[in-house]
Amino acid sequence: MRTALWVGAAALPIAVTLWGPPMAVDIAFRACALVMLAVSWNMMAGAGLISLGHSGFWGLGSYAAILVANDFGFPFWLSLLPAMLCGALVGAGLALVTRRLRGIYFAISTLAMSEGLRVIAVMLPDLTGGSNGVYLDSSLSPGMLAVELLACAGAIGAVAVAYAVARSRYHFALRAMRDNEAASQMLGVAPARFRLGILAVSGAIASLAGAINVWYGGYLDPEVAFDLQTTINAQIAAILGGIYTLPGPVVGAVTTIALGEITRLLLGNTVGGSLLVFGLVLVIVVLLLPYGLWGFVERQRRRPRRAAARLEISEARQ
Amino acid sequence: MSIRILAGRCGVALAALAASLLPGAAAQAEDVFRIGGIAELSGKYVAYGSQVKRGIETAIAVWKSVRGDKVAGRPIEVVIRDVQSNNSLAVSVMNQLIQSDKATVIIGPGGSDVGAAVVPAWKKTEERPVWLVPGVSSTVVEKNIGKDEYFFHTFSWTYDYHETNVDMLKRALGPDHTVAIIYADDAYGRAHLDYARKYLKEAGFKIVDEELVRAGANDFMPTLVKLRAMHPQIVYTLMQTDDAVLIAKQIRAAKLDPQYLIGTAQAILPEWRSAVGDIQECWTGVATWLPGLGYPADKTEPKLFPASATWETDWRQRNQREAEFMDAGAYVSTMLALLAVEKANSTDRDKIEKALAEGDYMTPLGESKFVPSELAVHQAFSKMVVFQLQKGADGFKSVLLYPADIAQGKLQSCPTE
Amino acid sequence: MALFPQFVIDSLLQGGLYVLIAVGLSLGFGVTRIINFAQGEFVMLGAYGAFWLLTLCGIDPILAIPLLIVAGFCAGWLLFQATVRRVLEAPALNQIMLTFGIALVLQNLAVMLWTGDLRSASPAYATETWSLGTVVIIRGRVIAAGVAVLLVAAVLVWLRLTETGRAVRAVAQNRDAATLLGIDPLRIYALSFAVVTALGVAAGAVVSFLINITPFMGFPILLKAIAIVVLGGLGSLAGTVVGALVLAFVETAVSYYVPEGPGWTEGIGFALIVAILVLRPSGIAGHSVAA
Repeated sequence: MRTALWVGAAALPIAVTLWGPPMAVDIAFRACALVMLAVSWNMMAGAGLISLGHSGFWGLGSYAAILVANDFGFPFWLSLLPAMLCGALVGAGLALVTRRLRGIYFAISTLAMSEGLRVIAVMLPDLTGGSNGVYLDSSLSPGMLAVELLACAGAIGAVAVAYAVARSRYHFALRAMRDNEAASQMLGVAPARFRLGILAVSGAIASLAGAINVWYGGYLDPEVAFDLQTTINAQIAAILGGIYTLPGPVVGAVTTIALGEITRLLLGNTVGGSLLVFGLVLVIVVLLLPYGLWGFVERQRRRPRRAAARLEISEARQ
Repeated sequence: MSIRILAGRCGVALAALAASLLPGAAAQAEDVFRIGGIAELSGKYVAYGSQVKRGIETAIAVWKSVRGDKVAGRPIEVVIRDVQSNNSLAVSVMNQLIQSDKATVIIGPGGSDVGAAVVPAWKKTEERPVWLVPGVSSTVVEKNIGKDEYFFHTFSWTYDYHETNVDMLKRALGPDHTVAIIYADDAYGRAHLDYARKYLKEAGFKIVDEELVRAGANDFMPTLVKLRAMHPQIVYTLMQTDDAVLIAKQIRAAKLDPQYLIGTAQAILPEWRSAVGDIQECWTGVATWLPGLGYPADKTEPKLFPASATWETDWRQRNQREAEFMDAGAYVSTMLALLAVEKANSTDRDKIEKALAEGDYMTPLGESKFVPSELAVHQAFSKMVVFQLQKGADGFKSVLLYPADIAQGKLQSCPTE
Repeated sequence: MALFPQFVIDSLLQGGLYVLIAVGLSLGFGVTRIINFAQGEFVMLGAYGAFWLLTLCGIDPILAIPLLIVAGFCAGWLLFQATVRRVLEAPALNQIMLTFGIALVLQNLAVMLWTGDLRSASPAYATETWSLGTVVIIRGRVIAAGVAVLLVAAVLVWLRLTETGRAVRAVAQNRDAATLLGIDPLRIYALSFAVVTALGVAAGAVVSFLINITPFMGFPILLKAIAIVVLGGLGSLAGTVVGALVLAFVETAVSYYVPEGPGWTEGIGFALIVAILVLRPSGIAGHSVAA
């Protein structure tokens, strides 16, 4: 049953990309990119590592791809590899630098990383084009269909990787780290090594998403590349969908994109309206659906309906 | 039970998808003149995007009051989409306007940032519609657009600012003056720096110092103190409005005492002027449009392109606020598009392109003829005006300094403390 | 080297400004461990409040501070009861997302009400200066530093010498023990949150005449405040003051003495954060890092 749902979910974006109207294809593309980001973010969160600087990986991947393409003529497929490599290296570097940090301290470091990368991109115009931005050499483009299909593949791949991690031994180590890193260390888990692994993998996925996106958009500047909104979207998607679960980020990403479209459609004409609604939705979701959509579904399935009321309150308290 | 909930969730997502496809479904092959507006209606460039929206809507209202609800027998539709000052969203909106909404022409955006981001999305479409841009000065964009004939720029490029400014300075003062340039480290400042430098050097001015300030910083004292030691006669600033407010205040506080204070667009903006108050005195600005240019009405279309003063009054009545330069640009662009469709009697883009290229009207922005610019094909309104804020009987007036044929006064040096 | 006296003065005054924007966050996060990503927006609201009071009623921003503090306090209390209270137990993540959402709402409400155009309050002391030889001192900045000192002193006095202040510290140190002593933690959290927002609004009133007022000014201020609080050490107000001065001195030094310095100053804050977190996570004066 579950497998059927997953296969359906994987087939949907591919089907839309191949046969859907252009608007739907655009939505599917953005949803796939967001799925990759949300899965990546969720992976880190699953290990107790809250990332406030995910846009750093995204921007890094975007710049890596656009620079190797423009300067060395790398074709689409090839440019994605340096992007993922950069993401993995920065993720690993982050793990090494922050090995003793947890919780909000780690989160602030990620923010510092993202902002630092942005300042570097601005202050080195000879390398990155600086604030003026840089256009991707359009003669290298493989056509939008290839880019869009690769986004679908990327999203599916990201979920597959998350699944592999969740099913592996690492899963328990990471879960233990999330709950109590000191205790897990006493039990023989080596947090540093796992942290390195998870950050490298997460970083690579997020950077891949950024790289694919830059081929879709064709233009990049530091503000866009390292925009805080990217991090916010990734977080919203993961939390809205259901943090720490596997389908959560996927459900959340799709819902976030849909929500964005609906608010823009209904309120796009009012100045400031659409972002306001987005903020309101965020507040309402956090207050009323703390386990996210998928978490809600899971909890409904797990308990019998009668006694749910009393139990739910104490569940929520945990 | 869970299957139902799941189905429900999927249903929500799909319904949302469907909802966003509906406009597209409706906009199939009808013969409608549809204007696709792409504007920053929220986020940090909201000040520009709202002008684009106002300009388009006012132009349509004026057209309807003069010509009726149709153009060349076709109904007029407007769809203006908010890009939230977000580049990725802007790309999606451009795609949507072209592919789903099937806009006949696209107008907007206001800022260079968003403008730069949407160029690839527009260019990659074979059947891209005519695109009129009443903003976006970045020459990076100009280079990327190149010789595309469906692109009509109704604003100036970065180099126009400085060619105009420096020419004004040369004629008013002569070149043997020292200049210090203060520029912001954002896209705006750095783009303008190259051209400012180029034209100043060509004209023979001596650049004694170039100082960088961080865009968005709140303290420019280190820069100004360093500058003070050079005693520049002319201080030439290259930055956006928010930095321009602080620089004006802090130049006064640092007792820099230059003879001339040269700005780019800030002196024209009501928000800059009200933010700096009395300190606005003696600042110069360069713009495509400001109130009081005194252009006459167009001979063939006096109701659509009335004389400047009439247009400004009419605008004030319709919008309950003073017009600004991008309002004017969007208004003129929309009107030119409507006139082109009427002349071509068609919504075919090649016919519209031809009609636009041939049009020549006297608009509130000046003469609308499209000529090639340095790199692009259709450029109008690159002739800019320079003005200075001078103390008048009640408050400060914008006194036009350049070009000579519409000048209202001479360049004055700044009062010393 | 001729610039040195000016550099010192500028650093001190900038430090004063930094203390002002960071004191609220320091108290909020350090004492109550509530992560409030909307703090920047409260500064923004305070700035707008001061601006409108000046423009419409002619009230000087400094004189408006007591008024705005009361308003900020009430608003903070209400906001806490309506929203923040429900996520006290939730993962830190939920607090971040909730307050982000609140920040987005406040920001766009400001856009809808007052448009995205920038404003600037311009009382005379904003640009008037005192001169000591070649050194120029902007009066407005001295006033800002003065207000910062007063606010920090007031908070310290409150925390150490008043009963509610001590209750706040007790709850921060050990919530359950404090409950046993008869302190209602929920009321204390509400109180602390309200004080934090009041401080943010006060800071906003002061910055209204120093920097530009736009609906989007909140987030950069928040980032700066985070940098300062981490540098100084969470949980220590004295540390925050030291952190603010250190950051101000380093940034100003780079602005003055490094070519194209001003462009790099933004990155300095973050480089310092990373350095501190790696070398001495407790910051200059903070408590040890808790999970």
